[in-house]
Order: sequence, then C-alpha cells, then structure tokens
Amino acid sequence: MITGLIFERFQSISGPCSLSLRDLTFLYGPNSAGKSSVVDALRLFKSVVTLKMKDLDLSGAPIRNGKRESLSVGLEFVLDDASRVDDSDSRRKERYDDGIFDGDFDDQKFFKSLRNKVICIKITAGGSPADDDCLEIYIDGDLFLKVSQEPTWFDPELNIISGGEATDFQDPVWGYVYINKKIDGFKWLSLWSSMNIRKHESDAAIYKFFESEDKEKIEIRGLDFQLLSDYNFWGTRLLAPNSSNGDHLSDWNREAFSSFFYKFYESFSEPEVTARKKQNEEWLDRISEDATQRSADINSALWSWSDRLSLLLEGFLLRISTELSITTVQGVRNIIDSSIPLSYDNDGRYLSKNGLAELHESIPRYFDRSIYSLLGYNWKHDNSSGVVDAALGRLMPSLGKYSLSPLISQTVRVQSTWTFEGKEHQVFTDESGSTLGEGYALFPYLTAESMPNTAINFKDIGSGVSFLFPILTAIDMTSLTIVEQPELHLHPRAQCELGDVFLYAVNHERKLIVESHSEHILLRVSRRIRETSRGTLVAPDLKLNADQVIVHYFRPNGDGTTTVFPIRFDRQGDFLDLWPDGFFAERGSEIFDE
Amino acid sequence: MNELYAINPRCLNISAHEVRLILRSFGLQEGRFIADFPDRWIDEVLSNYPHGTKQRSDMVCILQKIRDALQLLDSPYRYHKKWEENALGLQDQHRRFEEIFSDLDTDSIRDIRILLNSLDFELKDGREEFVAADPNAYARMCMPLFLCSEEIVLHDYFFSLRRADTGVIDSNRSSVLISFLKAMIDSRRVRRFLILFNEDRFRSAMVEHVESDLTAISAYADPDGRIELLYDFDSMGAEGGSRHPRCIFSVKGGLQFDQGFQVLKNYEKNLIRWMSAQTLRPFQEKYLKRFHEQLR
Repeated sequence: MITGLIFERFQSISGPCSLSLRDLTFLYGPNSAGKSSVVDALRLFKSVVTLKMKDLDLSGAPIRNGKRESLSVGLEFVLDDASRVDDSDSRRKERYDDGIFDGDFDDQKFFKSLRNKVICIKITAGGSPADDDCLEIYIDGDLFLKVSQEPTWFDPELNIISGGEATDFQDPVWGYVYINKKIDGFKWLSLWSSMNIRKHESDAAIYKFFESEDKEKIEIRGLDFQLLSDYNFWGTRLLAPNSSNGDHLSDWNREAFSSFFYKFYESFSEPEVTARKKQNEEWLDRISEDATQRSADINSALWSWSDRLSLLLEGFLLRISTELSITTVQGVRNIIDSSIPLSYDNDGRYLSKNGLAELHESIPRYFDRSIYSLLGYNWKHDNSSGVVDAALGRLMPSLGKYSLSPLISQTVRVQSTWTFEGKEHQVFTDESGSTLGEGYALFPYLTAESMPNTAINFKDIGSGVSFLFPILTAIDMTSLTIVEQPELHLHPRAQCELGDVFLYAVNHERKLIVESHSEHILLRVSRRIRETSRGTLVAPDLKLNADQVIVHYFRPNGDGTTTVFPIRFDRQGDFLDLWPDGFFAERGSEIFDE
Repeated sequence: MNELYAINPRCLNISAHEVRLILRSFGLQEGRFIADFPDRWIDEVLSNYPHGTKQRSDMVCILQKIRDALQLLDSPYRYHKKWEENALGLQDQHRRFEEIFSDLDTDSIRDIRILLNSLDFELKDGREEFVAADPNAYARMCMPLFLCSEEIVLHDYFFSLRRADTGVIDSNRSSVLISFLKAMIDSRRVRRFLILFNEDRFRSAMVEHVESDLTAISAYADPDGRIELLYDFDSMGAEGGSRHPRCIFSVKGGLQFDQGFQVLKNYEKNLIRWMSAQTLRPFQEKYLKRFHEQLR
C-alpha cells in the first residue's frame, strides 16, 4: 500500500516535503503551482521499478541557482497482507520465483517480517555531475540498502572496495546499482564480490580476516560479521551479519541474506554485462586455485549473500510495481466515435486504428474485457470495480442513464474466420475493405435506459459521457489512478456526482489521486464524510471516513518554488486545516464585493 | 462573553445583504452565538427563499459561514406553538438567552431590524471578559470552541506541568488541563489535543516527566481514552516569548488567556478574549500542521 511521497528536490517543490497518499488524495492549487509534480514523480518510480528505462524521465531534476541539481524523491509504502508480487511481467516474475529459497529462508518470510513497517524507496538522479545518483531503501526510517552509481564495479582491474568513494558510504551499505542512461538499463552488482576481496588486499579489515585462520569474526564498516557454521548452502559457509549489531541488522536480515545468487543479476543481463560476468568467473577460477579453502568459503558466501540482496531488491521492486500500476488520465480528451471499431489481432493485442488508444490505454483494456465477455470467456484479469456501469447507470443521473453495449457490427465484412480457444469466430474488416489487422473488431456503442434497443454513438449524445469515459475506464481497470482535471466540461451538479463516482471506486479497492480546481467535488466528498459519520448515508458504497481522504494544497512562493501543505477533513466534513485565501471564498467575494 | 441569542429564522426573510450584516455580529470571533432553535435553524432560514433564486444561493453562502456560531439546545421545540412562545418558555425556565429577536417589539422580544440600524451597539460585547480563575470557568469559556473543533492546540511559552522551583506537579496548571479534557469529552467533537511546550525554557527540565505527567493526567481525566493527547516542543525564536499570546485554538477560532492557563491566587480574575481572525491566522498556519506531522 503506497502511503506517501517525499520530495527533497523535485521540480518546483521546495523540500523536504512529505505528501501522504490516502485512498482518495486531492491536489489543489493555482495554475502552474506544481501539482503535476506528484504525477511526474509517480511516473518516475513506475519507470524505475518496472525497469522500463526508456521511459525514465529525469527532467524533474531542479535547477537551483543556475545549476542542475539531482532530483531526490522518495516513495513510502507499507507491505500489508494484500501486498503481492507483480505478475504482469511473467518473465520477470518467473525469474524472481526461481530465485526464492524454500524453507526457513524463503523470500516470503523476509517480506512477512517487513509487514507494517514503513518502507521508503528513494531515488536520487539526474544531476550534473551524476556522481550522486543512487537508489536507497529505508525501513522504518533506517537505511537498509543503498545502491549507487559506480561505473567501475565488476571490473577486476579497478579498485572498488579500498579507497575512493566506495569507502565513504555509511553503514549498512550492501550494493550498488548503476543507472546507465546510455544503454537504458539497470545493472546490479555486489559490493563484496569475491574478486574484490581477493584483489584488494589493502582493505585492512578483510585482508586481516583472510590472514587470521583462527578467527571466526570480521568487522566490516563498523559491523560485526561471523562465519556461521550452521548455515551451509551448496557447500559454502555463510558469512552473515552478527545479530548483535543493533537496529539495522536483526535476525530477519540475517536470514534474508542467506541464499544464492545470479537469477536477479541475469535478469538485467545485456551482452556486455554477460561478457563481464564470464570474464569475472574465469578470473575467479584462476584466483581460487591459490586461495585457501577458508577464503574460498568466504568468497562464495559473500558472493551468495550479495546476490541474495539483489534478489531481495527485485522483490521490493516487484511489490512496488504492483502498487504502482498507475493509469493517468489527462484533462484533454476526445470524443469517441462508435462507428470506428476497436480492432484486435489474433493474440488479443489492441491495434490502434481508431485513435482511442490516444485517449488512454485503459479504454482498449476495458473493451478487451467486454469482447471476452461477449465471446463467452472470462476476462482473465478481471478485477473490475464496476465503476463504469455504476457511474453511467445511477451515480451520475445528470448525464442520463446509459449502459455500454459493445457490438460486433453486421455492417462490416467477414474476411476470414478466427479460432480462439478452440472456437471459431468471424474476422472483420471495415466497410471499405481495409484491413483492421487480422483478428476481430468491436464497436463501442451505448444504449440509453430510455431507448434500450438502440445503439447510440458516443458522438450523438452530450459530450459529458464521452469526456468522462476515459476516466471511468481507467478507474475501473487500475488500482491506482491519477486523474487530472476531471471536472472539465462538466456541469456543477455532474461534478458533485463525479465525487460520488470517486467514492464508489474507493469503496471498491481503488485508490485515486485527483488533481482538480473543483469546489463541487470537494463539497460532495465533505457531505459524504458527514453522512457516514452521522450514519445517515443512504448508499453504503459511497461511505467515506475522514481519514481516507486528504487534500494537498500547492502554494507558489513567488520565487519559482512551491510549498505543499495538507488539508484534512474532520468527521463532520469540515476542514481541519486552513484553506489559503482565494478558495471557497471566491463566491462570497463575488456576491458581496469583499 | 459567549452570550446566546435567539433569532427567529422566519424573520430573516430580508435581503441577503441585510442578513449578512446581522450575522456578521455572531461567531467565534465575536463571542456571540445563536441558538439552533428549532434545530436545523439554517434550513428554517433558507425556507424563506424559494428554490432556484439567486437570493437563496447567496443565503447558502452566508449561512455556511455562520454554522459554527450555532449552538444546539437540549430543550424540545414545541411545533404546535409559535417560535416566540417557545423562546419565551425557555427563557422563563432557564434565562438562557441574552436577547430574543423576532419581527415583534415587546418587553421580552426585540425587533431584529434594530440590528440593521445599529448592529453591534445593540449587542453586548462578547469578545472578552474577566473570568474567575478556576479550571471549570476556563473550560466553560472554551466550550463553544470545543463544540465545533476536532483538533485543539494549547500554546503557551510559560506553560509547565511542574513547578520550576520544586519540580513537583503544579496543580494550578494540571487542574486546568484536566478540566479542559473533561470539557472536550463532553463536547463529543474534539478528538485530539496538542500541547506545545516551550523548547528553550522547559525542555531539559521537563522532557523526562512530560510524557508520564500527561499520561497520568489523561488516565485520570479521560480513562476511556477518547481524546488523543499529544505534545510537542516549540521554540520562542527571536521574539523571546515576549509577545506570546497564551492561547488555545483550532482551525475554527481561538481564545487568549491573559494570565495563562493556571489557577490564580487571591481570587484574581483572568482576562479571556476571543482572537480576531488576523491575530489567530499566523498561529493556525504555524501550528495546525503539527497534527499532520505527528499523526504521520
């Protein structure tokens, strides 16, 4: 469960500043105040945790005093019972699963031990020079893992451990990540890889350990480690942190570190990384010939340990990835033309021939589900909240009552047949005969309650429904949706009703971040809180407790920076914090010349 | 101070501008309150204006601001009788209204239009009063604030739970806290109470006791734990505390206690006043966010 964002340096927001995210989070403030920074920050996290580095946008790095500084922003979350590993990237998930140890040391045990702890993943990147780039993970405020840009790692010819920046880290520091913008990919490595230990004997502490045959302990960067005789994996003994090391390294750390490696590392293998790995193994083999058995044990153990860390980091990222299945819906929208079909190829991939994909990816996804349903199959990822039906059917009566009626039109020509899961279906082209792609087509019509037998084109009804449709489908299909200016083109009453739609979504396990200028939406939210508190709420799926919602107000400081402060609700739907001048006061000002 | 007025909602069938002029004399900043009588007084006022008119929508805007000046009465309203009869009945029983306003002008009832001509001059000044310096009187003065606020801040640079000379519990101050907590529970609205201590002056001496002292006070005054009692430290800054206001406030309003939050000797009285919006705003801006920070 994502609980907040922490801005230290990001776009115009003058940090440090903490934004808590609730089930329903509103972003308010004047134009150009920096509200979209929240959206940009979440997009940045999404691109990092899903490893879609081509989407990595570091333009949030602020310019202060004429110098480009690195951006620094954190994402806070709590692993709860509902937290699960993102399985949308099946290849990555499978790789991760393969790396999970069974038994006492299994991955799940580690993450279970983190339940209800506040975890913060923080990214620092984009500055010039880029020396500060790093990714850190904090657990309950303590630094647990720091992965940092270190372009020289894994190169046995270069010094890593001894001297230089590698010794400047604070404890505990477990590894590096290199965000290589040139090749668009993460590369992970271990801090204490064996070749480094063997190679750099000048590192006093580690060197001593190798030389002292009768000692079972070693101090590395102020922490005691010991060679554990009771842990033995694949013939290696484990060098693990001593549990007496205090807050940072408790038992769950120790257990978590005890596993083997490479799976995660391989996941990012690009040709050059693979080549380096091979070089490294060869080099390791060479040095192992003259290594003592003891040092070989330790080498292997350290190697295993560091890989396990990588695996854990992957686990973190996959879990955050699940939470960050963000859909963003912008305020600028087009009207859907129902006469232009959505078309799909035989693999069910949406073919963008009608412009709907430009509206939002959620619309094709929503219709994916519809066509599956139409064909008599269960939508395999169906976790719909039903918000589209609820909004068009009862929650927004001022727009009229509609239901979605996806049609396979008879006016298109049958080009061939298509077999799907053993059943044969028709394949369509449009009337002109142009190919829609091999597959099938769907026409997104509506039916009105007053005219149940008539297919209505979105273009032939008020634009409110059309403009809202991308928002509704996005909320329906996504666990966390960011909606920007949803009130555009809506009558005040419809804006209030839209507030109800948001509450319905929240009551169906959706989280929303809404950037808006609408008083009406907030007034409806306030009313529902009051009704919930007093027990007078009529519709149970519109209930809202005060602590489920928060408003963040963005106030420009006049020097190009922005201050953000929270405005909370109380149980009566009143505000617990001050609204800045100029909001909710506009009406009085206009009526009474105040 | 804190006087309660009865205004017949049916006689506010005048222009929105006139209603606004009248109602500006009531509220937390003015120390005057209106009886929510009959309950849903605002709805009664609105019923003077037809749906769909601009005047009605203007009235909604005005009445929204007066909500916190309304005080519920626990007496039943007899709908078969006129509003004036109900008001006078209550007045005879309890003497609870400072004035009764309607569209009549009798010995007991005043014509609301008087207020349009002379406004505040016809009303008793409700902003400040010398109050007997005992905890119950203090709590009574704060009750209108507690009735409309979910979070309360007490800010006094010289407030301490222990005596500076002997280090023992200062009952003159702790009794005020106990009284406040009990009143907050009675209000059924307050949920959190934040006390800001002076970091520069008291921190070193108090920090080891403050948590246990507050826990003990809370356990005594609020055994069911209905009020979340929070504390924090604040620095006096450059002013050195010379202009500190000794106030208790929320997002809705605030009260200043001239002699601080303590029982005074020799039957002295404490001057208590409602804070103006201008005086209060810097405190609200600076300190209300502490709740959010603490709750995180």
